Amino acid sequence: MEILIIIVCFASLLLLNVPIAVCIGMAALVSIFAIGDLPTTYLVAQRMANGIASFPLLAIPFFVLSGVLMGEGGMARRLVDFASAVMGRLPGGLAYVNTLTCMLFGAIAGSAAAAVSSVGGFMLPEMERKNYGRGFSVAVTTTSATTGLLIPPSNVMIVYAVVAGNVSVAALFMAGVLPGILIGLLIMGSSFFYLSRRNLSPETNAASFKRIATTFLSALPSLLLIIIVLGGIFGGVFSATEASAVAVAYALLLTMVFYREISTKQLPDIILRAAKMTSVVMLLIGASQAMSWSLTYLQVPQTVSQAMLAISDNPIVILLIINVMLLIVGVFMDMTPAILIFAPIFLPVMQHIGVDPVHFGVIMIANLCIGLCTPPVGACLFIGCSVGNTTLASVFRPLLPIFGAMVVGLLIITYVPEISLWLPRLMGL
Amino acid sequence: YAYLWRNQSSGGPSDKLVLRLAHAMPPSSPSHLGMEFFAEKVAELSGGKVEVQIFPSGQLGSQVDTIEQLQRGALAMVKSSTGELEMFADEMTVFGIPYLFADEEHYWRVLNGEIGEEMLQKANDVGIHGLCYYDAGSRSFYTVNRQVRTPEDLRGMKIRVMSSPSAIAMVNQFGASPTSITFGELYTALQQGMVDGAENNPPSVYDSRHWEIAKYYTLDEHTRLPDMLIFSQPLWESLDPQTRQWIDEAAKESVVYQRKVWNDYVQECLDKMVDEGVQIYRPDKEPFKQAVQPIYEQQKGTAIGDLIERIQAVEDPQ
Amino acid sequence: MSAVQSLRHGLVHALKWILIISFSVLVVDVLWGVFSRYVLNAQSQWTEELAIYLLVWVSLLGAAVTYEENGHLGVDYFTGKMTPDARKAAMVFSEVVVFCFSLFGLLIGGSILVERTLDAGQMTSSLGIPKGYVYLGVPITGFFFMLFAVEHLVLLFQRKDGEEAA
Ligand code: NA
Ligand code: NA
Repeated sequence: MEILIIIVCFASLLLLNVPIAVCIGMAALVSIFAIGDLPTTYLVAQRMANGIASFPLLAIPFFVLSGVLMGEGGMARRLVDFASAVMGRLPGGLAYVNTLTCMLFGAIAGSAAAAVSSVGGFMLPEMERKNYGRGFSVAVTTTSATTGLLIPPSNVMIVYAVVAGNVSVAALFMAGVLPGILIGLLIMGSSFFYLSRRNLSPETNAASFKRIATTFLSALPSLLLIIIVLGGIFGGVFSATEASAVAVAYALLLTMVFYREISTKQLPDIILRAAKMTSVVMLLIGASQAMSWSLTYLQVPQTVSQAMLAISDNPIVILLIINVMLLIVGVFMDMTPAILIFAPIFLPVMQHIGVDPVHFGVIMIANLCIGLCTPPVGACLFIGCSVGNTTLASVFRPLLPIFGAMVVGLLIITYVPEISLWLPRLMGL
Repeated sequence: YAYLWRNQSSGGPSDKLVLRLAHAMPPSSPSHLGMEFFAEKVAELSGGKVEVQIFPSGQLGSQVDTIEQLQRGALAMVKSSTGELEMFADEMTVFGIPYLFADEEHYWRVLNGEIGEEMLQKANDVGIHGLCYYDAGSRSFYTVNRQVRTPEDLRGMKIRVMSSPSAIAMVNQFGASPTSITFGELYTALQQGMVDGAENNPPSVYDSRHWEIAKYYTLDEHTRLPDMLIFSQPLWESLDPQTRQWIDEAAKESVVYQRKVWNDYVQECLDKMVDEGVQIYRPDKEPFKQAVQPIYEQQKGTAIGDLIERIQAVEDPQ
Repeated sequence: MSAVQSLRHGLVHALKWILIISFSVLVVDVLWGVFSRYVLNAQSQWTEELAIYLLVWVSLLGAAVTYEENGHLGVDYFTGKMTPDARKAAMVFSEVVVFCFSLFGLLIGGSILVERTLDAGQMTSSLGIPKGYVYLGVPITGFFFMLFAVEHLVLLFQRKDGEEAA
């Protein structure tokens, strides 16, 4: 009964365009009230505040801030230059340049939306000029940008680690590296098939080694951020949270002192922007902790777990069912709320069939990346369309083969755990 | 309290009483087994009229978080470390005083005696009713590079501690520098040399696999922080005497069971670590105790100081 | 500009500066934690706790500012397909839901939480400040959310029927 109230309340508010965090908070408030006998009102307030008060979550505002700084500070341009020196000689090279830049940029920014708008801003006009077709160009950019959520650092991974409980952020970061690269390569592969029917000439005439070297040097300080963050975490110099604060310090130094592309005057505005972006995620996390409390109190995760295991106790089948469910969820919901709501529900099942929670985190994120590029709720897709000045309809057809590639990647990631777990195990995590 | 404590059941047709019990340990832990035993006993004694539902692994929130819920009646019971209870009742800090108990015998004599009984009810006025103590063993240092044999060996080491003032004060007294790191990130921190060592009870050291990195375990048994099974005071007051008696009896019996499971598990963990090549050393505790005397001096004349004196005065019954 | 408008403007402006300063303190605080461990060889014990409680305040107040600018995630697909009148009704409904949630969940719930926690005298472990002060961010945020919901409602009703949202 109470579960029905939660679902109906949440779904109807969601459809009427109430902010998702409030939909979740309201569902929690109403359900706790319906359970009765509980000190209703302050429970939601308490769960929200304590849900946010977590040291690992602190990395989110810092990675967001360093991402905004790097985006404003002329980093995307340098990465594009480097990527086109490397890949520009291939026929249809701009498509691969685009994907590679998105992977590099997303790796640093930790946010797919930032990658779409920064990289897209440079790449889309260029691809348009070379007749790649707007639809295809936007499709490549939006899907490639999501790889940055798997390649560390990644804010959604931090969100997952916190809701999953005893999962190490460092282990998750390492686990995402190979799957992120795999998806990037698969996207390039599908671009190759799409473009092979057309006669596109190479972008540059065999870029000289010298050009690769100079563009690399110019992109190096930006790429160093990844090294500092990951090296710092795995070298034991600092925790993931501290690494994110160091990333802010480094980004400030680079963009304000070294590149001089951000002035002191712009800084308050940039910080405010980061604070607002952070608060959107944090309010969602706080509200989800309240709803997740009432779901747990009503033993929903156990019930779902038992129901799923009643269908089958074969891990292959269960993982398939969960992947299909998550793909549907991803169509309608953003990644962060989807992780917040479904990770606690599915994790007991995973535990039962012996799937490592780190591996499951990678599966969930790889899966929901696809959802980021589908309407009606697809942050990356909409940003891509607006940056690329095109319609959903024209992006849709070129998106299909890329989705196909991403689903193949998802299946490989799901059924070959070593791709995710090999690196963290190698590092002893 | 404006809310009624009619019953905690979620609207079932019978008037079965459902008590929800939250804790932060995994379902495989000795404490969880103790709580399952408790739940079975309650069901047995009440003839099924009272059901205890256990939520392990911090599902309903962290320890502090769930204690706050319990204070306001949203949860019936919580199993918490007395370390976390410090924030709710100052007197609990006494358990964090290093080398307070001479040995395990002394420790249980205090907990089962007048002082232990008194401490259970110390937080009544903030909505916390203590039922009983569960064994959480004793905490000792484990280090990566060399064995700690005397307090001097700790000098200059970076030691990970829980973020509690008493643990920090103790490590400072040894001339080591206390470092706070989330438990989940400690393995990497030990491996990469971010800290030189940490301190915990044998089951935690074993389960976290920290022994793979830290091969030296020195059983100095500096603190014995018991776990406490606590009940929501407002809810407790609403229960009839019969139900209270069932709960008390089941709690008492579960303590015996939990202590046995705990001790077996501690022994098992120590044996397994020895098999894996961990050097276990049992030092003379006297020099360690001397090194932390300033902590005792500081407490003289305070409420904690009085408690310390009373605890130390608890006699061997012969 | 009316007195009410300039008051609101001043309030939002002040909120934004509080956010900018708190966020900066957050960065400095965590960096100090690293610095004190390596350079001073003794990690400051208060940095972590200060950081997580500051995060609560920054997140909540930031959420209020973001709400003022309609910046929270929502699903506008279905309302986008509605007739202008129905869409306006949905927008009014959405503001009312936010108002109710902020009133009951954040303002009232948060105030009771603060009061009870202060009464119980619970202290935070490292900083030793009353935990109630941490929770104080909840009712204050609730107040701002309600204020901005009312502002949105007034703007909605001032607009002529059929006129599109900016
Ligand atoms: Na990333
Ligand atoms: Na979608």
